[in-house]
Amino acid sequence: MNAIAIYWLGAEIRWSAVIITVGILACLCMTMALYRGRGHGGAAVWMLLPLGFILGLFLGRLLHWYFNTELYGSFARAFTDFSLGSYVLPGVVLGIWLAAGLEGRMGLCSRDELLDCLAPGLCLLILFTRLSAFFDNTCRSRILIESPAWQRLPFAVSTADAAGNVVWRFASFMTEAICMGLIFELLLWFYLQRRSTPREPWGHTWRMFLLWFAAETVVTDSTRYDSPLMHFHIFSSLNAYSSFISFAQIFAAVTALYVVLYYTVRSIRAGGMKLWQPAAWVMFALFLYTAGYLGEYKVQRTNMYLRCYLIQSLSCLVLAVMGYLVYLGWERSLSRRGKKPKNEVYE
Amino acid sequence: MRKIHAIWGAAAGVFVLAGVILCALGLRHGVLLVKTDHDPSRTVGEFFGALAADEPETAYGCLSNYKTLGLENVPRTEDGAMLLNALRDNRRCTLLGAAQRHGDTARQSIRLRFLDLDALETSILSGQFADIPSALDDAETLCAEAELTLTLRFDGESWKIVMDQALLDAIQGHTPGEGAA
Amino acid sequence: MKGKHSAEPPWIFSLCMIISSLLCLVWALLQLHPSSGVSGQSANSRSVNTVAEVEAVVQRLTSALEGAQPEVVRIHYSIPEEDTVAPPPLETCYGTIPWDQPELVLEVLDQAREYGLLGEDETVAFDVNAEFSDDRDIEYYLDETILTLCWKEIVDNRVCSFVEVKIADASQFRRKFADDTFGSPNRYYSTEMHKSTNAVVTMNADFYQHRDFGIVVYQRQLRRFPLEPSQGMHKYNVLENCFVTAQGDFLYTELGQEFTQEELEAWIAENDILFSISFGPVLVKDGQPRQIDRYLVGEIMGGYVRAGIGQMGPLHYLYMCVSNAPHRVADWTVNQFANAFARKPVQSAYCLDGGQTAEIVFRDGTYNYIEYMFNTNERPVSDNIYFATAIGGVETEVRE
Repeated sequence: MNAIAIYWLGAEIRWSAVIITVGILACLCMTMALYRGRGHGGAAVWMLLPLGFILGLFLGRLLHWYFNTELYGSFARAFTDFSLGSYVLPGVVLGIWLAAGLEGRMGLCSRDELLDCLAPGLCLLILFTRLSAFFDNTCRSRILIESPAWQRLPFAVSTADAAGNVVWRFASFMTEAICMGLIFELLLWFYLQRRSTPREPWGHTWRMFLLWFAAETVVTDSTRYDSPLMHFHIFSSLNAYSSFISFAQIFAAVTALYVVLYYTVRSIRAGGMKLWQPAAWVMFALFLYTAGYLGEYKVQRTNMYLRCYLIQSLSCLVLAVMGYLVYLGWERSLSRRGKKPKNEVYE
Repeated sequence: MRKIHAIWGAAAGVFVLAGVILCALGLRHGVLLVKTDHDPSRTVGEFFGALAADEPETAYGCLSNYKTLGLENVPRTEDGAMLLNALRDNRRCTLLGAAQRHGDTARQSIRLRFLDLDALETSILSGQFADIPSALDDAETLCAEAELTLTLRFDGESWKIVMDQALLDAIQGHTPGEGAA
Repeated sequence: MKGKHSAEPPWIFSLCMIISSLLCLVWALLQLHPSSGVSGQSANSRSVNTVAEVEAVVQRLTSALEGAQPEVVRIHYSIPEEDTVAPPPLETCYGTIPWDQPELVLEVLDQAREYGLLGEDETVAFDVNAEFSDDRDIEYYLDETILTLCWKEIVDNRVCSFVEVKIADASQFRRKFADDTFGSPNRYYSTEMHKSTNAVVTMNADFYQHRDFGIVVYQRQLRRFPLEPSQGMHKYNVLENCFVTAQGDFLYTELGQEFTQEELEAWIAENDILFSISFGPVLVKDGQPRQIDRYLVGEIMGGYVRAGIGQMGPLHYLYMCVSNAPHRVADWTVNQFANAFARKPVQSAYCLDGGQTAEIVFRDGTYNYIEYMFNTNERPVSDNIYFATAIGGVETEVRE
């Protein structure tokens, strides 16, 4: 399909740009809806858009340049020629996180509160960013679908190679968009249902976003044929061990670990060590083994897609559920000890 | 205290819906709008004008899917050169109506008059003419006409003709649809 | 009660932020279109030769009118250098010969001689007296422009897959990068790239995207020439590089050989280099095997699946790959591989990336076993080399 939506007197407006822009607007409105719903004015959110936009795109582009230096030819070209190249989504998320942190530092808002209000909207942005892949050749899968029964959306999407052969590939971008839609609903539910819990500090919705986004990324990123694989320009001997895994997957593992450690360590501080905390750490290690070795390593060596991705998906699902349970465990340890969280009072 | 601001929440819903609709629209229609000063009929005129002026490179610039038609090659024989010149000199293109535009695609109907090499060959073999030069003296009787609909595609800068077999046949002196003898 | 942070900033601040947001949105509308950095899979522009059509009419009429014998005109085919898709192979030119009837290949070779592809006394690598492996029949493709023979032999108790290719024009030996773009982040299976190029046979190359050293020349342009030091040398000369000229000949650089980028570019132009392969080492030189005791890539002292390509003569090539197979393990060092390769009539040979990427794609599938569990699980790669038919390409008349 043609990637161009509008030709206007020499300017080209592409469909992917239109869809992503609509996604940004949906994210802005959703964030504003939750933030204004807290009784605040909108200044912090208005500032988050340009700041998050610039920092997010800068970091996303920087990472894509790092993993694809030869594609751009030079660092300068990566930041001046936007007709080629792409952006690493975890980098964009990091940039937005940084932007919220900067606003918090400047005293404009509570960083964690802003991030909590942003989390569901960010899911919408990612959803539309993935849907925009209908109109370019990003986010396609290396899995070829040969059975006609599965050669349709949302499972597969057709592409034509240079010789005109039609090839059906697993629609990674569609799967990820659907997952982000589900995570959006879960996050909204999580954000709203916490109303019944008094005196909670902020940041939990954001952490749930990080955890569930990580769980989804591990699997969908693995299916892509254009995922930036880990590559060290210094300590290059590490490449022998890491070059089969993508940066997005490393980012996902690190953020998931952060969330699990955050709640387990805090619950130990609040209510002392219980059995469930080390059990959570063991479960996380098990997740790394199943998703990393049994899933990722094996699928690359054997192409047993169904089996490996089933294992990987199940372990990610368990991680997502476990992360939520770890959060609940922390909440419970707070209420048992009668401790009040440090942050501001909930109205 | 409301948890979700109603107006902003509704706006988010509107943009989500708009995004989904735009996705579907883009998949179904492709290019929505082409706003350009360039007219498809002008490309057709340029193409045949360049062929008539023996400027094949200019003509190729009007095509989207062919880089050469081989017209710049030098014929090996005198008769070959005469035939090539006759093909060029007897080609006439008349535009039939204005171009019909749909997004980034346009269609232009033309009436193309061309020297029919198959008819020339038959006439010589049947004895009507002794040889190629004498047949070309009466080239008018060996011309054919065809009404063709050309497809053009906008490439971001200008409209380009998508050469199909019918047009190629006519340019090479064959009746469209019958191919080379 | 509101959360604890500063009071709302003045309205002018919000207005500035709203304007900034609008500017960001306009920029996003015009510039934010991630594309994986490639121009997409574009097919070639086609070409026809109208003058040839006209001359054919003249020729027919002349023959008919004068009763003269038509002039003997041989058509020489070639593929334009800039084309990323070759003419499609002809289905009728494929054939299969049972592995236990190798003598039938001699008929194929005779036909190739009739086409003028093979000289009368030209040596071929295929030996009817070799010990053939029973897990795959002999396959071939033969038309006027290309002879391709695929077979499996038992060599020193290892299963070796061979591809012997003789082409009529050097343009039929081609290099394929993912998306036809140097640096593309995409990786495809070799079978996919094989189909997308209309190749007759495709083999792995160096998997250039997997590392950042060595020299890469693609489409006559020097694309990679890393100057940073590594292992006591510069990154461009830590490997022996192989260059393929427009005449289809192999040229090599030596380990540690020093030159500037300008010198290399001049040498590339002077020698009409089309593309390079950067793995190595050179296995066979002047028909003799080389013994290497130290090399940066390929774990040369270990026993692994190995692959290499050699040149037997002008436009005559031999690809060899030792793979795992049921009851036979591929465990050659590079030196052992070189010794085995040198037993074939090659003038020179170059080691390609082995392991899971060592692959021959013929017709619609893989010909050899891919690494790991003797199956056909391909690994997505960034590049390969392939041979194509030229019939359907540019025609040049050769009068005899």
